[in-house]
Amino acid sequence: MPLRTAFLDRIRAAVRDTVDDRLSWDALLAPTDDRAIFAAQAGRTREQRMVLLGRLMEQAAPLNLQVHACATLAEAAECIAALARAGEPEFHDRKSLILHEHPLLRALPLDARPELAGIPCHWTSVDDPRGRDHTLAAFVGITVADWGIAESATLVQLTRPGRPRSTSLVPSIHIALLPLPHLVADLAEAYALIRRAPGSDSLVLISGPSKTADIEACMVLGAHGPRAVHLIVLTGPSLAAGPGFPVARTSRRGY
Amino acid sequence: MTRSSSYLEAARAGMANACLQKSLRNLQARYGQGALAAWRALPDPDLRRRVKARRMQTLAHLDRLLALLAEGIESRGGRVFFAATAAEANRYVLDLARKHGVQRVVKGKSMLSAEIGIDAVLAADGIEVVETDLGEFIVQIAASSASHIIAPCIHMDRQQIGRLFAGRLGIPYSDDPPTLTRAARQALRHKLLTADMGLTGCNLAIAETGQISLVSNEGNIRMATTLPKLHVALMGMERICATLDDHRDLLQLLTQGAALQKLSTYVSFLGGPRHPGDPDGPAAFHLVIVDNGRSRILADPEFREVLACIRCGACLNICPVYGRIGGHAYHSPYSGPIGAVVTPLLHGINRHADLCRGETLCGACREVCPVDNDLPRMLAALRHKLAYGDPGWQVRPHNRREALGFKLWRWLIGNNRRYEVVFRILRALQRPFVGPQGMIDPRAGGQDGWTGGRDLPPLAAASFRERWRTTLGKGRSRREAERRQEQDHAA
Amino acid sequence: MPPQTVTLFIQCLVDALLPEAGEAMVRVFDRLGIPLLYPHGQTCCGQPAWNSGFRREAAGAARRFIDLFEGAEAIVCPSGSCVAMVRHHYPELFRDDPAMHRRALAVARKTFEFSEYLVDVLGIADLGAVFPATVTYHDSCHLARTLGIREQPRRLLRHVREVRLVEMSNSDTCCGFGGAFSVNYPDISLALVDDKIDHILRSGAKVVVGCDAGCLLQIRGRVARRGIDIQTLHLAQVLAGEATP
Repeated sequence: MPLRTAFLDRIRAAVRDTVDDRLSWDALLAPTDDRAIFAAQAGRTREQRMVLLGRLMEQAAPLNLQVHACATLAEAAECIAALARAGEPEFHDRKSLILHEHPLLRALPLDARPELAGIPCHWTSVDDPRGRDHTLAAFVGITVADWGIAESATLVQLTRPGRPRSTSLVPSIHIALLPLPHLVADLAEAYALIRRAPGSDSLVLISGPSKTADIEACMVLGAHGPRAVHLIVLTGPSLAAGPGFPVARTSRRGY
Repeated sequence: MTRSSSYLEAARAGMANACLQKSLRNLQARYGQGALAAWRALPDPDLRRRVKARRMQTLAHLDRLLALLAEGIESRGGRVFFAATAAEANRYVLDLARKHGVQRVVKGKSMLSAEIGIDAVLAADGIEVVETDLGEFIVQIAASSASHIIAPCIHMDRQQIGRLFAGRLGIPYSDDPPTLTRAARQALRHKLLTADMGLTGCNLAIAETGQISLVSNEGNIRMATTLPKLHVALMGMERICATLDDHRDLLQLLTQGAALQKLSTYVSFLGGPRHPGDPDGPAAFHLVIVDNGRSRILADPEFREVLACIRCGACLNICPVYGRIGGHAYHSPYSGPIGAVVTPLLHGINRHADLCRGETLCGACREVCPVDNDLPRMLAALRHKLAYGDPGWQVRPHNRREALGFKLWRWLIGNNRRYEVVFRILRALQRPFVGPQGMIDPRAGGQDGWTGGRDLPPLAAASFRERWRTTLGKGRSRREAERRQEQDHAA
Repeated sequence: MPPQTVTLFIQCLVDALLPEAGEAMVRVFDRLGIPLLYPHGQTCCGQPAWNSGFRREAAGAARRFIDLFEGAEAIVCPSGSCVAMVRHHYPELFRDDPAMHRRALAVARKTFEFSEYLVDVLGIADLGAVFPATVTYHDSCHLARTLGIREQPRRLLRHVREVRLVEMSNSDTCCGFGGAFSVNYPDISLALVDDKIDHILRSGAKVVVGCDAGCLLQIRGRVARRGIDIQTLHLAQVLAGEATP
């Protein structure tokens, strides 16, 4: 590729005066040691994680990220159903939901909720030709966040087969579930996890509903993305953490 | 000198724009001062200096890092094109658009796209180009241009925007920001859902992982990079960090510096086209890495550090000159202090002479820069090139009269007796110009210059050195006098 | 130990347009019993040439300055911008000339701004001055940002009897002087000084005090033209008790 070679050669020539003083290539790319971070995460007790949840709620409030703590899947289903009943569809006259194909979401007893009667629930999948239509028709998109970050009130959403990016983007309302053990303290912890996650080249950090202040610096929620984001943190000890952390198991105390 | 009137004209227009003045005042009070406060409150006071050092190390290895980035993206089926010039970049994107039968392009905000002029190139080929960032969208349909890096339509008030939307979107007139935003949301949603190509910039690429990243609050960038079948990202070649750790540090500085946020609402990481099994995402991903004059900046150790800039806009939010004249005076997508350095270096130092001369070098930009860039130093260096010319940068001496003036000045101050004689002559000559209040008469200076708007005291009836000689310096101890003699001999 | 002799470095603007500020500085030092020297050969530190990019001419001025002043024990100047020129830009001017560079560094090390010398070197904050007025202090750009001198003038002002020191908002925002900028881009320069005057008025002070003649000329010139009742003084004038509110 002559163009590419010429381009890079020009750069190399431009910086030849730095050759003696700069870091070596290996030093520049030296990996950081994340073991302490993983150890801190794995060693957290449930109480400590609940403290993180408190921090998350504090940080989420000014960002209009709504955080709900649910002890059981049944409570979570109740929360989702209430949100679906209260919410208004923005672009259509009929309500429908779109959910990521995820075992945790499949385990939610949504069928039992009377509020959801008459509201179709569609599931994403790898090759459903109607997937895009379902997403466009839905007013609520439901996903499972891979991790949550307390300090910045952020959800980390990795792109996975069968779980499209548009579910947390196109519908007016985004609901994300997060098991408590997947709540980490800060960006440094999240980055360590992201670095270790296989195939994590496509992901998004979400810190609240979409917004803009372009008109006379007045903040308005709901620019192009969802105008409301709800995070349901599953705090019950009976919920398995799932494949979240690279380090094998939680502390003996349960979380 | 041809740009002189354009800079001043646009500056005056900016100063006369009441809406712009009010908006900039609020913006600067909140975000400029806020950024300074944020840096003072950093738990690690050394962070910016360390990050700057990493940026410089990154630039020192830029060629290999770009190659590593390309490798990562290509390993996932993405394509990377290295464009030496704006023309090459535009040609590549246009060819791509034609090949894929693109009729509609949705854009995320990208200053690089404005720098290379891709919109006009695509539009000339009959392709519809839609800005989707609300501020850029407003500026686009108003046929205006962005006046701030982060808040493009800050120079327009809600009534103007209301009238614009009533005319162009066919909605009843309203000047309520939520109503207007909803109208734009509706109008742009359709475009975003039906576009063939998403065209974005790139805030920061990561060499180690082979990804690009984009920050936004609106969600338009996520949509533009998810729904259309083709995503093209334009990237200035210096907008890359070596490792994920570097990215973490820079990302936080960027969102704090730009809008006092811990993180923007969305941070997207993208490494290529959709994976097998991904129900959405672009089928084709192209990263266009652009030089367009940056390698020349890189090659000059005096200006290299300006490439460390992460385009946060904090310098715009603290600069008193920008805060008064607004972004249009810079005649460039890059305005404010960063624009004052980068625009001449990219597009001609003589052509943009006003940008480095029309600053006070107050140093506020340096104080607020998250990556510790010394913009005042580089502005002074640009003035140096304009003073004598510079063949390396194709600079002609900018103002021969000024050059002559300083030769005269040098002669004058080279000898104190000469200096004092000229002083006395000027003091005598000024007498007719001293008004009844004892100040230099305004008409002496004409409308421009000092006396157009300010009074000026005349040359003192007794200068300091005269006072020292006659009264202040007299009667000092003999020891002092002896020391004084020694000093005078050495002179 | 007898006090160091202070060699006076009087900025050209002070010499020609605001000699009373220089005179006030002399009176302050006299009151403290500091022996003074004033090399008559001094003219200009070269800052105007440096600011306009004419570094060759600036280097000529710098050489002259270094020749004249390098025998001094301590060099004190009533102007922050000149001190910044000597401390920060003289070494830059001679970076390709090792011998001159060394001499420049040596001179830079013993060049001080007036308030800095009083507070940091002499350890004095109380000069027994009296000034019954509400004053506000303007942080000039070079003094505050390049030299990091912000507290020292304020300390000195707080020790002045009967003074009430109030802070204006944006005290360190540029007044719009910027040397040649003030005459090359007068509209913008005026807009900036009008903002500064706004802040002064809002602070409730009737007097603004500064440590740079350029800023003082800018502010004073504009308030005079606009007929605004604000007094503009150099710090030295307040400390020497030479001014009345």
